[in-house]
Amino acid sequence: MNHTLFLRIALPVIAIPALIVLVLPAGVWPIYVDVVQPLSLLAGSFLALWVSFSYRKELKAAFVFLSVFLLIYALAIVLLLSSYPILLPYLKPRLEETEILSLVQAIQFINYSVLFFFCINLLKVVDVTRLNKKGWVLFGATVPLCAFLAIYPISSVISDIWNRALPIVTFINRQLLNGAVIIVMVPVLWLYVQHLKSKHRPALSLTVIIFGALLGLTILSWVFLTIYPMLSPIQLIWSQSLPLISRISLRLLDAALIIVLVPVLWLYVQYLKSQQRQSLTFTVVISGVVFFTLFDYLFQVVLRLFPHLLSEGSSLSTTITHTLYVYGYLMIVVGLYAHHKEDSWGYKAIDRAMSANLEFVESQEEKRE
Amino acid sequence: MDIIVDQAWSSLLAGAMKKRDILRPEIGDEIDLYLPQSRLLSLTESNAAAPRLLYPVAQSSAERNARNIVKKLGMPADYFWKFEYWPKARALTNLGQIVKRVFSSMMTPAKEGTLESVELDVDPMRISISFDGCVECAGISGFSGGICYYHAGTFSGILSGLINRSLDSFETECCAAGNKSCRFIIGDKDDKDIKTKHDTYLSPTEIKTDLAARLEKSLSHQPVRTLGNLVDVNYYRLVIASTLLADPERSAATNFEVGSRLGHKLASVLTKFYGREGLQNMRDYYSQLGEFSAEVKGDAVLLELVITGCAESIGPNKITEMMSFLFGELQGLTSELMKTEVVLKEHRFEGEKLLLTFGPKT
Repeated sequence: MNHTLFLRIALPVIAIPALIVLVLPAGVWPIYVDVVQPLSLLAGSFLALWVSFSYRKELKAAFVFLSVFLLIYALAIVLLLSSYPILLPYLKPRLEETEILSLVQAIQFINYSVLFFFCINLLKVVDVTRLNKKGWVLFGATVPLCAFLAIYPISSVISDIWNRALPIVTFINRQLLNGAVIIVMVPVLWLYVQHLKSKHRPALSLTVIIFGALLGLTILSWVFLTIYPMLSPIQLIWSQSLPLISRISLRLLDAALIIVLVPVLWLYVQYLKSQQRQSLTFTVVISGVVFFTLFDYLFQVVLRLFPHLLSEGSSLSTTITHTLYVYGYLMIVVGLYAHHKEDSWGYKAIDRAMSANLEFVESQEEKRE
Repeated sequence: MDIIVDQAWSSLLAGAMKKRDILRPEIGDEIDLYLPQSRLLSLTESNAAAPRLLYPVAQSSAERNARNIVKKLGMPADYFWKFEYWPKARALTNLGQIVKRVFSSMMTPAKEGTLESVELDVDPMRISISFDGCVECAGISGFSGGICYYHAGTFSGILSGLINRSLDSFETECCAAGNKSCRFIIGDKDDKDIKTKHDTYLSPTEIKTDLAARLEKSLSHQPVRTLGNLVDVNYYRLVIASTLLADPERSAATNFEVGSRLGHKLASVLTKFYGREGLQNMRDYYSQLGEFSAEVKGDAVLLELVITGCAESIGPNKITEMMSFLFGELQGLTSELMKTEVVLKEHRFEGEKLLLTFGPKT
């Protein structure tokens, strides 16, 4: 077995448990998803931790973060997000609906931050400077595309918040602009005073201290004067829109994750062309992360753009999403398993190649004898 | 010239897999290790910059071939992915396994030496390699430092090819300096410590050895190492090609000149050893050391040598530059043995036979 052959077999095979979601009856698929999703995430978490022992420094940290991400995700599904969550019956009598929603979003936010740390550590390891021109173009194109995918399906929510916040933003902007004029004027005035006193110029450090203090105080007081009158309207919008803002933030975080992961994938494409050495199995892991993040968004955008594709209230709008999630999670599991097995598979391939020929030659010689 | 190098590497791999056909059916595929030693040492003696020319050529050839070999054997290209992030134990085990299974398996049957990676640190990168029974320095003595420049380049090239990093090496122990085996330290090319020690290593103050004494050991069959006095002819081809690759034309001219000087010196050693004079000494010398078997025809006016199984011209690619050192050596030796200055007038191939014509210097 080698990792290429394993992936060639495993990647189509894992489509079967993912596609099962689409064919199961309405009452059964939620239970199936409730079992398969956390199980694959737990397996992924265990494998990521296992793989982390094979590395040091940033790469170890990256796999540990991936492991934590998958673990939190699995627990969140079992406890809060599944069709039959374990924790919700205990929380509902004690907390309000919005508080529970905030709790879920907080966990999601923490989890995505963990995944973001995984990506940051990954970028430290992968040499992004080796990206070719096409890679940079793709990277540049990913930014607006991901922003579009994240924002478009919830554009009405964003525009609603924006409309309510617009007067405040306008007021703050105007005030800050006025303030900026004063902030720029302060050093000019100070320099003029210095020029006038140039014959008895004080020490440079003293100038910097006085100038710094004056400028700092000016900025602080102006920000205070700008924000203070607006505090209560801001607080009002914030308290009303917190869950929505969290939702938008999470989607933007998702988009940021894809933007960070795209160069890693492109480096592998470059490797395929130029024989630079990027890890195939690791790329599958990254593809898994991108897959379950990006394809769900793509699906949402497609549904928004072409609503007639699915009849209203069709369960496919949910089951397709879950299919994509299951396939993405299983992709991570398969990639991590192959990544861990690479050492022994690689050595066995070499050993077999060397020994097989030895045996072959020896048997020929024996025949001749 | 690269074709010769790649063919020699492939042949060594085939040898490790016991899949190789005999290259020289008449005289066998092994030669006395004095032959590659005499070529390398006389070139280094004549030009102090020779190690600086030999090392990078050996390194780049080894890097290219190491990559090709492990690819041929089915090792995934990403096997050593992010090697610098591997923990020490994993790095030593995996690298040691591959080196032993592939490259040691190639070098030991070829009697180049016994290769083993013994120590490894990842941060900073330091790989220590032990090479027992080194073909490059066995039987040589009296040096204060290492002289195995070809192998220093080869090992750093192999490891660079495997782990996809730019590495350099230097020798810390060498049989020529009185140590039991050779030991090489390999590390990142841009590492300050490696850079300094590597530069010092490639700038030897003086290389001077008693090749006559070394030759006598080989002629009288005194074992110079545990692996014996013979080595695979492909190693010899690799060494010769490596001395030429940097600048084939100019290097061939230098090799011819240095070979000629060595040929002149050789005559007295052969006369003394065989206890007779004449061209028969030349024939016996090359035949005994496994360089080729020769038939001598004619006289000083027109001397013809019919050479069979010439180590430098094995295979379909006959490159004249590869034979430049030998041609020089033959010219010098023939002149000395015939006691009249002769020059090589012509060389041509008739099938696998090499025909050389010498005539008086005009």
